[in-house]
Amino acid sequence: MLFPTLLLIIGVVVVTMLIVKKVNLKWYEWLLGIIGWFLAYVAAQNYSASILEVEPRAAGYLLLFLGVPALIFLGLAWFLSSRRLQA
Amino acid sequence: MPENLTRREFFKEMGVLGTAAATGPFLLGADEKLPSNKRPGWIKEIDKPTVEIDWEVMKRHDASITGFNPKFYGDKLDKLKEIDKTNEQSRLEKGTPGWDLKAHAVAAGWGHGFANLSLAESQFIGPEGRFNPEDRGVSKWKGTPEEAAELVTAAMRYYGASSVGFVKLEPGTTEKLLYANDGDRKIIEYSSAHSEPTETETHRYLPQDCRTAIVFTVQMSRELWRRAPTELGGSVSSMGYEIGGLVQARTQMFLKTLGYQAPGEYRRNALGTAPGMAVMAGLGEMARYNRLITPEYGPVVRVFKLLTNLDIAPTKPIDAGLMNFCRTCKKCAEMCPSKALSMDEEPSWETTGEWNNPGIKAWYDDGVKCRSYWYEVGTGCGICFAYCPFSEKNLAGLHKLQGWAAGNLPVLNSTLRTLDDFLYTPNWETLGQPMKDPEDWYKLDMPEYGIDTTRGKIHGDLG
Repeated sequence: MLFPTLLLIIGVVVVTMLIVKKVNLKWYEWLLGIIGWFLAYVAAQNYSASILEVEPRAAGYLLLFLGVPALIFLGLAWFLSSRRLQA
Repeated sequence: MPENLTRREFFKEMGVLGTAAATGPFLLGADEKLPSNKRPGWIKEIDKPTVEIDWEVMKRHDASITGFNPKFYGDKLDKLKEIDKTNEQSRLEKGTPGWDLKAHAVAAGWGHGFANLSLAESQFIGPEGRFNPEDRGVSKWKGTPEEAAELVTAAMRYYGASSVGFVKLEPGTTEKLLYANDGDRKIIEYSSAHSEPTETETHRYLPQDCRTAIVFTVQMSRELWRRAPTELGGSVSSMGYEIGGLVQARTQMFLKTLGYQAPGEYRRNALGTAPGMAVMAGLGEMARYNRLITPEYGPVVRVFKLLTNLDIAPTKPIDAGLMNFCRTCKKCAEMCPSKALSMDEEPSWETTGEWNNPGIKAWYDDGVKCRSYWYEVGTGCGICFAYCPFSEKNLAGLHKLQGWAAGNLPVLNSTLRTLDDFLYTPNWETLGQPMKDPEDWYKLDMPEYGIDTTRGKIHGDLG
């Protein structure tokens, strides 16, 4: 269960940095980021757990089906916020 | 995609995502096959042990010469034994926590103080010994029915039971869950003439006050059962029965030490109907394969029962949406090699033969078709148990979601069945049986008995 723990830590660190550096994110950027992070967490949890369950096939597909949307959401949040902040 | 992937195959299948995914094994400390028998990297193999040895000095030792050998104590031994006995008796009489009668009873269940008792076989009356608390100078254990339920459950979990429930056997209703006669044709009967469980050539008599049925499950190895039907997969049932027999004997010793009676199964699947008692005790629900399905372990359990005159608070039947899930799932019936299971959407009052006991609206199975397949294949089967969507291990969040959805959002049932097929049993119609390669099992690093004993529990074994 190292992946989900790592993701939890990364999530907390990222949010803390955003707050400390007073990065002004729009509400929809927060929403996209939270959804993306949640999906990434679920993907990591299901992947790690499925490996422990001796189900590598299920692990791969769960990572794929949950991880890709997670990356899309996180990417969108990053793209929108960085474009807006640079403008 | 093959059923068990090497890391290389995994990379190939997963493409870019596989790069991220394949780092998992490194972080988890595993190797080429997951999970492997290899220990984490900080445990190094070395040529000499960390303790120094002088083989010149060492001799082969006499096993009778240990700290227990009386010769080292001389005249002091009798005095030490007397101190031991006096202290034990004093703590027992005072009810010192950890030394009181209930603690003695828990320890007695493991044979503590009764080292020569054999627990190998299930017995109606149970192991004989000096159990009576009055012989020890204390009165029998007393508590509320709720305290009794807590105490018995804790002890039985310690003896190896996975889940424990209690049913009051009432004349006219739940008493009918007792068999009229056991498999050896001995008649099971409540008798006012017998104050203790008594076995004769023709009867097993139960005292009238033995009205609490203790019902318990023993978890089996789902991973091994997915190798059914093979000799290897068939051993799962035998293991479950063996542990169940031991749990019963331990519980009998425990209850007798508390001062109560504990007639049990004279052999596996005796005394009463297992799924019936388990359903009434709330350990699970009836399933399409006409056996018990539990929320914690799915179908991968064996069910046992014994009776007692200790007043224990009964546990209530449950609805976790499991029987409802069976209505649309039908996976067990579809996978059944002998087609012994019902494909009807709704359960029925109609039995399929004398082997069924009427009176419940169930999906009655054709026991003869099922057993015929056992003869054909040369071992027990269990495919219906092993491939039930609820037999999946419950580490992944997906399985927790499935359990929640079955109870709260049944509209998702058929989707969850489809997902289970896709993730865990792809193309099972064309692959034949067994689904998982029996040879792969030897490479796994499974927990003791091949089961996760923390499953369904709040407090894991932390020491």
